[in-house]
Amino acid sequence: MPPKFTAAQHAIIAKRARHKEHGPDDGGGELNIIPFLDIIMNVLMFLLATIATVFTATIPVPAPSSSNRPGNPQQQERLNITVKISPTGIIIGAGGGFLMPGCTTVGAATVTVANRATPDQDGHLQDFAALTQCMQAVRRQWATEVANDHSINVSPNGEIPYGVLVKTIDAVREARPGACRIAEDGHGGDFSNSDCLFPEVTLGLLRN
Amino acid sequence: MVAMAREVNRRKRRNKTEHVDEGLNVVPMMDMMTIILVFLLKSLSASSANIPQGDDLRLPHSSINTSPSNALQVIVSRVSISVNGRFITALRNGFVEPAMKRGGGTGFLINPLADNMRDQLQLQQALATRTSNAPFRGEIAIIADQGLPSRTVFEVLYTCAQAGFSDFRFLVLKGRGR
Repeated sequence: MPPKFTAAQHAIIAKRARHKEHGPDDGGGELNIIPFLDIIMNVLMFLLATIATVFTATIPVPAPSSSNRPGNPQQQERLNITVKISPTGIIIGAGGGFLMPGCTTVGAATVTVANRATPDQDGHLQDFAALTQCMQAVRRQWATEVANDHSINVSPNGEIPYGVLVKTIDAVREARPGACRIAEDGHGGDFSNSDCLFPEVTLGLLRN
Repeated sequence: MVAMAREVNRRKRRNKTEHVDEGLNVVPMMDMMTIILVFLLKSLSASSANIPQGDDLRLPHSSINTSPSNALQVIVSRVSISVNGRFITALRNGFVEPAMKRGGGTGFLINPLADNMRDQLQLQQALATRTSNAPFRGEIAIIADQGLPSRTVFEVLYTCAQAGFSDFRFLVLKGRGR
């Protein structure tokens, strides 16, 4: 049977049994981790803000080879497509001539894909969308020859900015980003995908 | 008095079990933050693509989706050429000084770069013979400013090829290719 207490005794018991709250100044024997947390948060934010440099890729550029020398039995079936980037526009050579605008007939055109009237968001005048459409037309027009040889040569004029060269490589390689699925070593490319145009890009340089 | 002391202890025990800590428990969050921090620091230090970009070095964008490799880095900014962070030669308006090239203005071989690349080639080949899991592949990553004249990039490619390297890659930023 529980003991009976008076009101005064109840008050004393309640006072002694009350849980003591720790004040903000009480150490409580625990480490204050808030400053540490602040530092970690700041370093984390800094790293996340600068991590954009990690999102990089590499464009494989094969070294020139001598496998296409005359006498190669496959030589006759090759289109030998060359994309020349000049200050006035892009000239596309194929089958021993130059492609006319529209990219379905070989003639003696001075410029196959003319420059835009106004620069794009990167300040370039070259019409990369029209170049991709031209490459799609070439792939349709010469389907047999292109199926045998997926290579293309891109040759800029010496004063053409490097950024234009990279965009031109992109424009002739695939119509949709990621369509070619280039291997890490730069070889391969899913040519069966109709959006993968010319996955094997070689480079040259036009004489000024 | 003994009964009172017992009652106080009993109530204290009861209060202790019912007491709920109302403060936010930040220890799991701190664990998570520390793990993310260590992961980021490790991945950044191990990444070959940690390129300090600035006004003199802005990488072009590309839609290609390959991974950056741990190749030897040749950085061609608007003002200089450097190999693995070591200064090689200065550029004027994005072009190599004719005096620095074999054959002058029309030449393609950049003399100081060729000397350095030959040293790098020997170093890499010596390393490859000592490590069985990293064979020598002659791999070069060209990190060039998007506004550079193409001729300068080709001169760098030609010089590296002459030194004995054969696998070239342009390092670009992913996305917004067109």
